[in-house]
Amino acid sequence: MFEAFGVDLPKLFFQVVNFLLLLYLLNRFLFKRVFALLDERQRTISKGLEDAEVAARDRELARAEREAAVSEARKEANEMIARANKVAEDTRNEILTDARAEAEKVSARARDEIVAEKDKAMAELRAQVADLALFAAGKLVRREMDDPTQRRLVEEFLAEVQPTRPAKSSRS
Amino acid sequence: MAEEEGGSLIHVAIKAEKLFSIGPFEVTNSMVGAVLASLLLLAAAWYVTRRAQTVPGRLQSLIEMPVEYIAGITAASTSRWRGYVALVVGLFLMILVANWLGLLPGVGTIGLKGEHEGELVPFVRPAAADLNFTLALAFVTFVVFVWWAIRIHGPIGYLKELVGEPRYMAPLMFPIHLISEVSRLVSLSMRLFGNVFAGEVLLATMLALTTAVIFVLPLAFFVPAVFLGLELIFGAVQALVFALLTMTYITMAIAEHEGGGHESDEEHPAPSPA
Amino acid sequence: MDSNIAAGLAMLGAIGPGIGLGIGFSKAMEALGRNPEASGTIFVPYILGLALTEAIGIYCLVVSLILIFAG
Repeated sequence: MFEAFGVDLPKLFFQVVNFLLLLYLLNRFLFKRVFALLDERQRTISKGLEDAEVAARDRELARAEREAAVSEARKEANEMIARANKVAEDTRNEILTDARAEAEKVSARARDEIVAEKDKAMAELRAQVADLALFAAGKLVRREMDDPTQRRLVEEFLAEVQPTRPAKSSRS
Repeated sequence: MAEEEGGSLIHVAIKAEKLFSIGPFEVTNSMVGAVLASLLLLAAAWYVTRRAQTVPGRLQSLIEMPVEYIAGITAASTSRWRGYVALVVGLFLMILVANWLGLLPGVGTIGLKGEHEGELVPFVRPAAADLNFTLALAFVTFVVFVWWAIRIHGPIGYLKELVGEPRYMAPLMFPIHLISEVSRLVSLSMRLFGNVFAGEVLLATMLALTTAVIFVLPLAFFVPAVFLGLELIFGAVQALVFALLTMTYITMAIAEHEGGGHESDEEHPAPSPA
Repeated sequence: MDSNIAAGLAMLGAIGPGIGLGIGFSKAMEALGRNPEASGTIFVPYILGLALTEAIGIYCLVVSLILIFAG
């Protein structure tokens, strides 16, 4: 079969030798350099990939850290706000109760004062009325009455008048 | 048969023709083609290495590009790629240059009138249009992948591989495996030879058809040019195919035991026969 | 003359790989259309399949060449 295509051993051998020689020379001069270049490039690429992986891992780590820090800070802030709210509430309540108590006290004192003032005014009024009555009676009768008698009369009169008045404190 | 017709316009000899002889050794025109291709490649390699620059120029990157491409593909095949990448790239470059050299004007057309019947014997014949050349390359490939198989498996392991898995089927399977191994050699060489030779015949036919009648003679300038372009592609594709098949055969020889997971099992019996 | 006819008939065997190559190429293009980024991955197996399919056609050619030149 091969004879039809002109194959014979010396020619075949020549071609094999030719190719092997070419391969040797090419390998010696061209490929070494190109493959070294290829190796270098592959190394660079794999190194780049590695670097990228490391960077990605770092980034991931940083992200997690940041997130943790943010959530921590948020929690702290929430706590702080809650505490502040509570303090404010407490303070408000305290101030409120204080103010209420103060107001109570002020109003009580005012009431007492008013009562005392009224009593005093009542007593003065009573004395003045007595004097006025005496003076008017004296003028009316035009005669001297001894003072003790007059006074007693007037006071009796006043005592008679008194029960019609509503003020209770004046009785004592 | 073709010679009998004599006046036929289509003439492509299937054998490489003898140019002259040195002693008993015949020098054929396809040898000249192969040597020319080799010299061209060496010149290119010398050019590239002589003015090696880290940032390659246009011509330098033109030469380096296919080398890097094939080497890149080979590097992705197995972890032992450094052991056979030179062969794969060398085959690719050699076949590529030889094929494209055959397309140059003058190759196959300039020659001497031969001994028989005044036929033209061209000085240069595309190397791959001679079965000697393709068979030589296929033979190198064959030896290398069998060598790798033996190196990885050990000779006994390789024989076991040929015998096949069910041991009792050995009488049937061993010849089949043997034939399939040898058929790789034949199919590799025949594929390249067939393609290139058919390409030569095709070009000759197109030229003959367009020059047969004076009326269609202007077509002779265009029609073969189309097929020349086609042959340009085929030349590159066949070079790539040869290189990739070589790579695949070697990869199969290596990876059969690398991927199987019983690499460690094979490591122990391997040294004993070696 | 007979061997020339036989050579012609032998080339009928190129029909099979012709169809096969067409199918292979169409599938490769389909794959490329579905997934254009995979062109690099598809290319090498495609070329290998093309070569192995084409080998059948080359066998036919070889047979017919033998018939012509050695028949």
